[in-house]
Amino acid sequence: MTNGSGEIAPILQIRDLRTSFVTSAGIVRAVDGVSFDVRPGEIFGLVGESGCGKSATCRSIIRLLPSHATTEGEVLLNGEDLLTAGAEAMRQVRGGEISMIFQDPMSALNPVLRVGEQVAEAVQAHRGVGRRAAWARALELLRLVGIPAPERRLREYPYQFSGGMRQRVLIAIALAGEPNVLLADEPTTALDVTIQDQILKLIVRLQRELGMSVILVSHDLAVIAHVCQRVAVMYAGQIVEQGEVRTVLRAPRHPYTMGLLASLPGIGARERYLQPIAGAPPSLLDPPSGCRFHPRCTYAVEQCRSWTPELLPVGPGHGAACWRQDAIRARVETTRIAVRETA
Amino acid sequence: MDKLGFLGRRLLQLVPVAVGITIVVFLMLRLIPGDPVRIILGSRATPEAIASLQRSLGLDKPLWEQYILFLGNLARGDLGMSLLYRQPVRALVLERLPATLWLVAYSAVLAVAITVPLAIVAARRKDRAVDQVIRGGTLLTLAMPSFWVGIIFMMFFSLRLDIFPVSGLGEGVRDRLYHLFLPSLTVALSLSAILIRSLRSSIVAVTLADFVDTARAKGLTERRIMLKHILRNALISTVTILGVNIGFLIGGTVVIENLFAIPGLGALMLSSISGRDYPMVQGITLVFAVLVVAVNILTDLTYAIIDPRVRL
Repeated sequence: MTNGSGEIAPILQIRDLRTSFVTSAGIVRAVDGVSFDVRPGEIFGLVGESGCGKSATCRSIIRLLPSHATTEGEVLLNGEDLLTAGAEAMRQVRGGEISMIFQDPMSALNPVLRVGEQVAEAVQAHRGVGRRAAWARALELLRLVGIPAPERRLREYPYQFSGGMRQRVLIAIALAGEPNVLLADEPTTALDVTIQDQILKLIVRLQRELGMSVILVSHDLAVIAHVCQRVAVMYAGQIVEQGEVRTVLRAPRHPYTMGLLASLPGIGARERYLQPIAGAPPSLLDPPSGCRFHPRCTYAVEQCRSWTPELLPVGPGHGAACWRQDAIRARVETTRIAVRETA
Repeated sequence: MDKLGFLGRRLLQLVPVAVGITIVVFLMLRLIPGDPVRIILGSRATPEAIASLQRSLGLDKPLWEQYILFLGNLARGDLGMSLLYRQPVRALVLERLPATLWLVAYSAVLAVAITVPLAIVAARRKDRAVDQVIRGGTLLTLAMPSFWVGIIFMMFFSLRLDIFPVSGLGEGVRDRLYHLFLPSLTVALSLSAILIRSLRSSIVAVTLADFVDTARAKGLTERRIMLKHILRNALISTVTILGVNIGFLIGGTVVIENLFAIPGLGALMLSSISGRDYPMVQGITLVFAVLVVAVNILTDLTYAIIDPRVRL
């Protein structure tokens, strides 16, 4: 599939997505005008601090939000808008076209049902097969996600599984309907570091074998750098920078991304000391005017207070929502020279 | 199978409970202020009559010996002779037991049948009009004494509409279900008022659990999510409340049994107390105690079936 410009048509297009929650304190705009495309067979990263709207974005895609949430915009799956789809159409999409795995595998499985039952019912929800065939398929799925002794494990309950094994079960459940898109919402955050790596490798392997697209949500840039092709950086409910992972992480063009990288050990950090971003993320109840990052931004000038920048192209397939590109480039040049001189 | 082991362990734990029950029931007669024999026979009894009753009740022997005798009789299923009916207590109790068991079981089944759909509707429409009406209804039901509700039912369904009998037990299963419908419904209503409140709030709580998101994300129908995932988890706490309340119910059907003229244990208990038929009161108390314990075991077993994590 190609469109007019010769590029591969995206499988998922998010257009001006706005999700807000009505709370007693007021309206929380968790997602505020987010747009991005996911191409077939790519791993797309969504990165940002806690509470920046990454999870809300994912949940909005398959409309897995509490009743006090409202969602506007468009979520186009192969050109069809999911936000206006009916309940039954949406049920078929969930788990069938788009699956989701969650942050906390310890609580994401039903404690009182056998693991096999929970995998098999996902199979049955999308294929007109009987119970026996569904359990047989569940066995294959457990094998696919690398669970040892799957025959025995099928008959066990979640409390008999470790965190990593539970996340594998959840991945098996997500794969049951052979989806084209997998939403992975911080799938490794709640796990031990060694297990994190195994689960990430599993997701990458399955993505390649099954040719799925994956949206990988993480607050961990190292994870994103490791597995994603493209990335969107979110701040306070908006995407502030987006592009190829290599470009965004090597040559960030938004002060927030630069700050994130400087606060990390290892990748991209040219400075000797880690530099935390000053201040705290803003409240989504009452976000700052203009550019939402301006109160914490070292590049901020007067106009940043009043004007909201849009995502502007700063390179091939690379966009940043910041006007101070000249200042950023200049600063980057001076640091490079400084680094070269000290080296 | 480990459910059987669970049951075995649970039964073993009952030994001290059983001993406790026999001691309490045994002491009931002995610890009544004053001489029970005098109370039974009245103040104008002759010393010969008192001595003879003391002998026939075994009250002239030391307490420990009386207890051993009591246990021995109990082991043989002998609960003594009713003073009022001049018949073995055991036979009388066994004759009355089925009616009470029917009433309790029927009430419990009806209560569950009323509770589950209403709690689901209330929880799904939380804070909307339907929910408010159902919750208001449970409060109203709790505030109405069951004897009064029973009378209203009788007046309306039996006397005015003439679709249910006023009293009696009926013969055969179908007829019995028909006869016991109004009394059971009366009991079930007050029971379900408590259960609906409990189940509704559990459902509301479980609905927020992460595994419900998983269930929805895998594309299950809302119906299946509710019945298979939410309800089953929400029932765990409500089963406990149901068990405790059935325990209460066993000794508490007196009012309804009297109102609907059901020849059950409650009615017998009442007449035995007022007739000072101490052996009978003792026997019925023992049966009630055993039933309450049995209900508790059933509750624990249900609990273990619903929740695989439960192990003792």
